[in-house]
Formats: sequence, C-alpha cells, structure tokens
Amino acid sequence: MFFFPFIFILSRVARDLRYFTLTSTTLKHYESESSCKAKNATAIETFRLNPQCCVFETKMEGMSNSFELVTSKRVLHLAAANEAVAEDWIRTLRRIITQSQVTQGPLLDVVRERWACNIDGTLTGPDFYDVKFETKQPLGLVLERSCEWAMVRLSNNPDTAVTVGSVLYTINDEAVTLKTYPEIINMLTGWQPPLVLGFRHSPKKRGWLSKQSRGKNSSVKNWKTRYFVLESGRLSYYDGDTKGAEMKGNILLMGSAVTLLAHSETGQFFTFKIVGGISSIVMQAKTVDEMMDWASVLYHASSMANGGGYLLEVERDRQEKLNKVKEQAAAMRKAEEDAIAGKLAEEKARAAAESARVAEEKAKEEAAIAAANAKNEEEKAAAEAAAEEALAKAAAETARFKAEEEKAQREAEESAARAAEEEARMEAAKAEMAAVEAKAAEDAKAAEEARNKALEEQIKVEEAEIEAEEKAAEAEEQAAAAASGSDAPPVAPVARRRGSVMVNTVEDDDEDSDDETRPTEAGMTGMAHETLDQDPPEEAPAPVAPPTPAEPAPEPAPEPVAAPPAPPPVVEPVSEAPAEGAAPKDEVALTDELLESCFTNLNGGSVSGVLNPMQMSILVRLITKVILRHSLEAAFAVNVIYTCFIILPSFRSFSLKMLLFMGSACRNTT
Amino acid sequence: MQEMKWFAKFDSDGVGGIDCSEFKSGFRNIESSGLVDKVTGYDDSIKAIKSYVARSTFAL
Repeated sequence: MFFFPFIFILSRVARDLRYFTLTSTTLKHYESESSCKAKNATAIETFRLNPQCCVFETKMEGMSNSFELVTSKRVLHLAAANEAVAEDWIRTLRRIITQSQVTQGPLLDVVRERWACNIDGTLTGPDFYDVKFETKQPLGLVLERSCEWAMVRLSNNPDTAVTVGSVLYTINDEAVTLKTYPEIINMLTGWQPPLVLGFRHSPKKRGWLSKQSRGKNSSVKNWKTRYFVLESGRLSYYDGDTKGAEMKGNILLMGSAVTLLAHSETGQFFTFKIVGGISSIVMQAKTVDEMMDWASVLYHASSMANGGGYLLEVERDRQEKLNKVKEQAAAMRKAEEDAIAGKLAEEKARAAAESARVAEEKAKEEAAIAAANAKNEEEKAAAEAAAEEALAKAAAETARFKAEEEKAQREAEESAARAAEEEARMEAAKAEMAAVEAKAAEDAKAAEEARNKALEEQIKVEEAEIEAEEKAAEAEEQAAAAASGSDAPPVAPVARRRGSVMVNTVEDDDEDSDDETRPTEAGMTGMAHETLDQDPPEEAPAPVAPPTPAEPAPEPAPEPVAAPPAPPPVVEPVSEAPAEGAAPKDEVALTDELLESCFTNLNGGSVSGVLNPMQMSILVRLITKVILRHSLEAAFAVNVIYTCFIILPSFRSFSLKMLLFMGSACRNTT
Repeated sequence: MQEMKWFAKFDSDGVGGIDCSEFKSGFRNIESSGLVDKVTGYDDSIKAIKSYVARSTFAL
C-alpha cells in the first residue's frame, strides 16, 4: 500500500486537502498523513473499486487538474497539485478499474444473465449490428472515447443507421473491446474499403416510475410520478408520456453508476438510484420485478457508456470461448484432412501392388514362351536364366509394393486413430463446456432463489418493524388517552401501504434543477469530515473534453493547506507503470495516415484541395486549446461547433465564422 | 498573428494554400528540424495532433 497526499475538493466553498491511500481494490482517504499512519487509523471514507467505477477528466470552474471518480456509492470530485500528478492518478485508477473483479450482487446477477453471450462466444441478437462501407468516403461518424471504448457520439449518415450511443465492438470481424482506444483509432486511421464496423446498440427503455424530489425550501423528500425515457446513453424524465410533455430533467449515463437502495435508506420499497457526476436520481418501481428490470437496464446502459464496466469481464470470457471454438474447428479440419490423405495413400499403394502382380505374371508367361522356343540346350539354359532373372525382379517389385502398401495402411490407421482421438477430445471439451454452462445455470438459479429468499426475509423483517411501530404508536396513544383521562376510544391505526405509495405530500417543486436530489447540506452544516458531494458547476456537461498534455497549466488550484510534495501514484499489486522515458500508454504514432485523416477532417472529407489560413487557424486554436482553457461554456460550444464543422458541410461556413469569432474574443480577454 | 506565421511554415510552395502533402511534410519538417522549440504553437500542435485522436473524439 502506498500513501499519497492529495487535494480533495468538496464544493466551490470547501476544498479540503485529504490524504489518500490506493490499493488494487480500494481507495481510502484520511484527514491527514499522520491520522492515516496512526495506530487504529480509521479512514473517513472507503470506496471499493470495481469495473462499474470510472474516471473522467473534468474542467471545473476555477479549478485545474481536476477529475472525477464515479463509484456506485457516490461521485468524488478531485484535483491534483499539478497536471502530471493528475494524469498519473487517472491512468493508475483506470488501470486498476479495468483489472478489478466484478463484485457479486443481486443486480449484477440479473444483468449478467440477461446480457450473457452465446455458448460459443458469438455475438448475436437485436443489440448487435454491422455496417459495411464499400467505398472510401467520409463515414459521417464521430467517435468519442469512454475509457478504452469508442462510442458513437454523432452519426450523420442515415443510410448506415448507426445510432448515437452505440459502442464499436468489431472492425472487420476483429473484436476491439479489449483493445485500447489509441489502438482502435490506429486501426481506423487510413482505413481501406471494404470496411465492416460492428456496433452494439445502447439499450432503450421507457415507462412510468416514481421519482424522489426535494422541496425548494425544505429538506423533506417527496415522490412524484414521472415518465422516464432511456435512449442514446441518456436518461430523461417527463411530466407525461405524450409528445408535448415537458422534460423535467435528464442525466447522462457516461460517468454515472446505478445501485439498488435498501428500505432503510429511503423509507420506501423497490427503490434504486443513479449517481451522476453532478446529481443523482432516486427512483421507485411498483414491484420488485419492475425495479430489477429498470435497474438492470440502467446498469447495463451505464456500463456501456462508461467504457465496459462488467461487460469487460463478459468480453474476456466471450473471447476466450471464441478462441477455444476456433481452435477446435481448426483441429477438426486438420483431422479430416489427415484422414483423407491416409485414404488416398492407401488406395495408391493398393494400385501399385496390383500393377506389380500383373508385371510378375507377365514375366512368367514370357519366360515360358522363351523356353518353348529354345532351339538347343544353350539357348534353353540362357532362356531359363533370363526367365529366372525376370521372375526375381518381379518378386522384388512385388515385395517393395507390398511394403509400401503396408506403410500406407499403417499411416491411414494412424490418421484415423488421430482423428478419433481429436474427435474424442472435442467431445470431452464440449461436454466440459456444457457442464460449465449447466453449473452456471444452476448457480444462477440458486442465486435467484437466495435473492428471493433474502427479499422475502427482508420484507418480513420490515413488516414486523412496521407492525411493532404501529403497536408502539397505538400503545402511546392509549397511554396518552389514559393520562388525559379522556374516554374517547383510541384511534385505529391507519394501515400502511408498501410499494409505490406517495408519501410526504409536500408542495410541488418539480423544477429541473430543484428536482434532483442534490448532495449535500451536510458539508455546509459543519460536518467537516463528511465527504459528501457538492453543488454542481454550472453547465457541466458531465465528462468534459479532457485537456491535452500540451495545455499550458492554468492558474494553480488554491491550496488551503501547504501541500507536501505529491509523488505520482504507484500501486503495488498492479505494478505496470510505464518505464521512465517510455512513451505513455495514450501516445499515438504521428503516422502519415493520421495526418492525412486530420487533413481530410478539416477539408470536408477530401484529400484533394487545399486548406486556407483560416482553416489552419482553426486547427491551431483547437489543438492548442487557446480557446478551451478559458471557460467550460466555450469548451462545450467549440466542441459542438467543431463537430458540426466536421460532419455538416452546409454548416461549415457558419461554424468557421463562429470559431474565429470565439477565438478572437478569447484572445482579447487574454 | 501567430497563426499566420505558423501557416507560412507549412506553405512550402508559397502559393497560399496547404495541400495534404504540405500538411504532412510540414509536421514532419517541424519534428525533424528542431523548429519545435523556436516557433510558438508547433510543439503544442504536434502533441495535440497525437492526443486529438488518443484522448477525445475522432471523426470518420
């Protein structure tokens, strides 16, 4: 375990320096280094790292070198002392998350069962689709990095029917889900037709749920019924299910995590929560099945949006299965080929033996004729000798062919034996795979039963609690009545309802921002050690375009306490830090194809033609982030305009003007 | 007018536009001739070209 000092940001008004420890499974933070190293040290908070977590670089107002860690518990907003340290933290956390193990849980069991791959590791089903590009032309796609996965951010080609939020799974039938993002881009840079891209749709779902909200001037929570729509990696909710319904809010799944909530957390049954970078939404279903259905779809969708999550493990298993099946097929083909070759050799040897036998008989006949025709003894002797010689020769030939025949037969038998052995091995492997699948099915069934049992137990316990509370209340009322001397009969307790009952009928406050459960008042009410989340920065479109390494360091983050020197994070169990001087993992080679691709992006998808000074100026401004470092709003706007510039030819002139205008405006402010 | 100076370094034939080969050779020349340290923006642009595809969005 290694210890790293760190700045921990809570909100705009509270930026606390915290001391962090990172292992291959957990991230903890302490008040200070001394409190961490003290005997019986207790961490302020512990976060378990699993594939559901994700890390994003962020640009918070007035804060440099910031990033966020999304866990199912909550989202941590962090900032490092400098850019290098921030990059090291991000890279190390990503590596740990990628290599971490999926933790078991009822939600995960359902998700894994629902989106399991085929037994042979192939990808089929309505989720998957291929798009083929026959000619070299702009594809009308903008891919966005999410961890190491490439997601479709924009799609401008209606013919391809590529949907926004889809994840790139294969390139020319080669799986890319376990490759790094730079590797994927290197494969796509300078592509040649035909190109077949395989995508996986982001899940879609819509329906009514109750949603927890908070009164404007009150901490009392209330519940409202909202129509939820999950689409293109975003969860939105409306006040109705008609076309003109007003959208009350939405949350981007990239940078979010989903969890089930216990009754004790919300006071309600069948509740679950989605935690995003700047807000969270607590939802409630009417039944346990509906809750599991929604939560599992959201869990799956957020895993896709976050660059894998539990799907990384599924992909590792799937590709292992696929390789096994491929190896088996190759072995079977080889065995068949061996058997055919053996059979051919046997037939050839048999034919040769037959021809030798014919030759021997012919030689015998010739000798007999020669003997009969001999005129004298000498000639007769010579003829006999010649006949004997011919016979010996024929016998030798016959013996040779016989040996060859025996050899061929042996080879054929060996080939057949090998083929039979291979077949038996494959049968055994199939049986083994079937046994594994059967065991998995049994385990899933057992887990399901255990889960149902646990839920039943929980419901029973909660019912007992409610009953006890009611009895206690009744007893109190009776006692009060007795104490006051009243003769009035005790009030009958009102039967409580479970499930989607609306409680706490507080004044409707369903405004977009007020509607979300904002963390937290605790930080503002003096609980200094509570590491709760913060007020969102304005218009923070979740994970913002990350800064480039070239970006000049903006004004340093204010450090409330003198920060000790911050070494880069090194994690013992996952010790794969790049060697000193080695190219970082994200480095992409500056190849001709890459430069050509950049040129064509700027030149409307064409290699021919020239760039004018204005176009080059855009490139300079974009890549040096002269504009982007000024404000989050500008960064977002530039991203949008630049994307439009790339994929919408008709919008290009306007985009150009806008970018130049923003560039000059930013330069003037500098 | 940093951008214009930057542009002039790429415009090897002086005609006024930068074609694909000039674009590519411009970056190559900068990288090999050590101009990176002398001209503002070059170093950043080379790094950014690399990170352009490595770190965020990529248009196809």
